[in-house]
Amino acid sequence: MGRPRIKDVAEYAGVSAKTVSNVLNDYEHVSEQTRAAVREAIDVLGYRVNIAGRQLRRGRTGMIALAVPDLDIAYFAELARHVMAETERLGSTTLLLETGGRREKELAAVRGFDAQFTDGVILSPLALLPRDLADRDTRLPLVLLGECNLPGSADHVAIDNVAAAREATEHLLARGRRRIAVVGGDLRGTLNTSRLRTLGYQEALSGAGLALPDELVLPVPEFRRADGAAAARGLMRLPDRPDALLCLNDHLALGAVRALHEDGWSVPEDVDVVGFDDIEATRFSIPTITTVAPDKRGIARRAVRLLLDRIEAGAPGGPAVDETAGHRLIVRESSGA
Amino acid sequence: MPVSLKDVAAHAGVSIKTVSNVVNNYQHVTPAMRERVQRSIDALGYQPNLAARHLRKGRTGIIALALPELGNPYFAELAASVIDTAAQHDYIVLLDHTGGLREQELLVSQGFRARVIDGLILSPIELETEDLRDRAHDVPLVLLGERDYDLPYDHIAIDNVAAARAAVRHLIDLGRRDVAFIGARRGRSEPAQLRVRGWREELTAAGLPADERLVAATDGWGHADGASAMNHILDSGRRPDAVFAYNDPMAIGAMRVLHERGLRVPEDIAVVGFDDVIEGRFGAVTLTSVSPDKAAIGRLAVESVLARLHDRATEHRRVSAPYRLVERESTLGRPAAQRRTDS
Repeated sequence: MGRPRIKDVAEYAGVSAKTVSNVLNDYEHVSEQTRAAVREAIDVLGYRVNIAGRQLRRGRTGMIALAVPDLDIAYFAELARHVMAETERLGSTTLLLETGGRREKELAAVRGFDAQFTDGVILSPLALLPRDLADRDTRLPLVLLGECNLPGSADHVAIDNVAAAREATEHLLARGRRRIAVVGGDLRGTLNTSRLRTLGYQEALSGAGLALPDELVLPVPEFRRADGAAAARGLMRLPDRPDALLCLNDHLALGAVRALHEDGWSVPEDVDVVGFDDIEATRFSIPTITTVAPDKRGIARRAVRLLLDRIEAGAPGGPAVDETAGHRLIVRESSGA
Repeated sequence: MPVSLKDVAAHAGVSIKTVSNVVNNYQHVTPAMRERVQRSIDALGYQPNLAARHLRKGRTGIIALALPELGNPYFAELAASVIDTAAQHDYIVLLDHTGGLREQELLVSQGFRARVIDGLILSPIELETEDLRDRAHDVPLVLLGERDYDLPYDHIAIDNVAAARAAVRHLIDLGRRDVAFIGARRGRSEPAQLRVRGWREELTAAGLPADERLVAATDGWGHADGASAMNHILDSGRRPDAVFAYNDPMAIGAMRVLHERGLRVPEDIAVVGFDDVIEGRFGAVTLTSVSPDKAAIGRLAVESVLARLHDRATEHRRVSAPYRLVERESTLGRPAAQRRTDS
């Protein structure tokens, strides 16, 4: 029979070729029934999207690059999986690269790695400066993840970091906590995500009539377990120690919990701990960790959609788009569940 | 627009050729000139176009690292050393995710990205010898990991059987007798996996039964798989006094289950993992684990790819990478917990 084509899938499923295409591109207005019929046809016939064919038709490579700081930070590994699944679903492939959170590598990403093999880039930057984005060649489609310090420079997708941190803090306040520390917090630094989350925390405190305790907002050199452990240790040695630790990612929270355990503190009895990102490890730790879960799949879908739309549009296209993905607080053992 | 060689030359008041010589590290540039050009490079934020440089040599300057599981921290930690070594040679690394599935591994090893990459480092799970024998493209290939192929490719791995034996020996030395293994692969008829084999061989050598009912097969090797395997063993009425897990995430999942069931680690059940990922150093009970020298493995992998790229006829080698057993609380126990009375 040769390689099955969209036409063959359509015939098997009893629908039009256009409908098959719509299902492949996940358009909303296809009934679940039709979707299922097409999916079955695809499975039975072993249909594979012909990437080369698409390339020839559109003069594209069919490949997008995803550049994240570090796969060691579980959030980025999980996000990368979602992005890869999404591009595969839509007939493209993702080239994954690490930047180490270093400016020169993020710059290289913004420039599409000087190579002809990607149609666009999704970048999660930590070190990029406003001028790096202002100067960029807008012919290369770019989508940024996370908070950007130059709005309007490129499409981006982020969660509402202020609201997320505010809700996490309100949860701790509702548990009667009054001395809440922010591990990784920083109102003045360059890490926008930290700054916004600290703002959300501050808003929650104001709402409860509490002042911001400077000594409880603790920046960290990196967002890894060892940094969380060191921060927790330091904080618990303060004369007026915290009764809750809002850690700005789960690695910090997991490190903090270990340090607290070593120093004889009970979590959550003596001190609540909350993290961010809902990485898999938080569901299996002892105790399990309360965390703010970003809608990782939603972030991936939106980012890929935005990028593919830009690629489709050819020219730099319209003004930069800002999309907000959802989040939710998942309460676990480390704050009393 | 990005800064070009021309901009740097104009800024420094020298020729483009001079800037190029400095950037490419040619010897015959005076220190004074080098410094002058470098000052301009720094001031303008010039980034050399590596791709162009590689293209001149007929290369792309990119190598691919194909990983079975993106979520497995062992591979993330390994990727770090691959990326570092590659960067030292002005190479960038593309990370491919195969999911450990034969279809994806085939795609990658058969040259899916042949246009884009100069070399491939692959850690295959499901590929069979025949799959690797006839490759459509001759992109230099280096293999990592547990599968043992009798094929002419560079292969860098630790001795998984010996490492597993060391882990089980540690448990036996601590007086454990009923050692379970969690993480055998489900549904594949192939020569016994190396780690299970090590488990079996060490118990047998010690005159202890290698109880196959204490071997739990799983479909995956994440926390949840470890948890379900541990539940499965305990629910079947068996009570091992030790568990050796295929990797650390599984060991951690198992420890969570033990905690939920009120079983103490290591007092009731000692636990050993594999890979020595950072997560195991920070749990409520730190995890004893076999620690492969990830830095060495990553470095050797990149060096092998580049050596073969340089000279296709280079002798193929099997490198046995170093490892050690790191003993922690999950087998040794911990100091008595301090109580703190709140004042």
